[in-house]
Amino acid sequence: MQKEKHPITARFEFTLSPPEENQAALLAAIEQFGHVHALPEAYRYRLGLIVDELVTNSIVHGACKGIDHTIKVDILNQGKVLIIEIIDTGRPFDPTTHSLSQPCPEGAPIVLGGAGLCLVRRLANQMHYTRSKDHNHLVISLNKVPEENTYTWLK
Amino acid sequence: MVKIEYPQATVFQISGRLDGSSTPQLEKSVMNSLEGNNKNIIFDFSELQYINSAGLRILVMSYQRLQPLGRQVMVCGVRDYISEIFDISGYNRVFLMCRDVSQALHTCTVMKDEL
Repeated sequence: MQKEKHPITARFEFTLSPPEENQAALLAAIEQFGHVHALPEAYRYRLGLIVDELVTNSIVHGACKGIDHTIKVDILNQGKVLIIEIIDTGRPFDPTTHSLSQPCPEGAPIVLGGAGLCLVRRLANQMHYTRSKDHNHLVISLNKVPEENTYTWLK
Repeated sequence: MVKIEYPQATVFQISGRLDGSSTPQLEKSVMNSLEGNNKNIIFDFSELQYINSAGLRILVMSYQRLQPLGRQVMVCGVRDYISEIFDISGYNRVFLMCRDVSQALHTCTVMKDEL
């Protein structure tokens, strides 16, 4: 991953324990981190959305009875790229194996579930998953994007 | 959240964040609206700053209820940085994306006239 190639300009660390009670505070702190480091609006949104979807997934599907469920989120701002590390004690789950297919592929019926992970996979530039010592460890790189997007409305 | 009834559609104006904590209120209101009538639904996102998959799920549920009745789910005023997720998810092909509420209401009227 690009983690070793660029100097770290800022680091963000947040531990959610118990996760369901701290998720809103985490997302607010990430938004604040983005403002402080003058990340463009689109970039802040992508960052928040990726972390939100992955933490939600871990809370909803990862918790095991009798096991202390903790999620740790680290973000390294390396200038042109953000490295997001999410480490949790939940059930083994590799998001990189989730389908890249759109929740509503052209010509097919619309699907209700799975949209969050699909968005994560499509927004992230790289994702790397490992499982060790009863922890899921996910590293995501997110390249900075210019604010070039202009939407095409219904004519 | 503000709900406005027009003859041709129900408009939901959403501001701020639409995520896991704020969606239950909107879901309840949308479901009540769907129980009461079969009008088109317009989501006005001009003041929306954030939406995740939980928020998108409400749009999909509305579509699944209205589409068999020949009604539309319309989304208007989406900020550029949010519009990206409609593109990459493919939802931009499912919902009618309009510039603003006026355009969405006009589209509803045109569709009704064409029936």
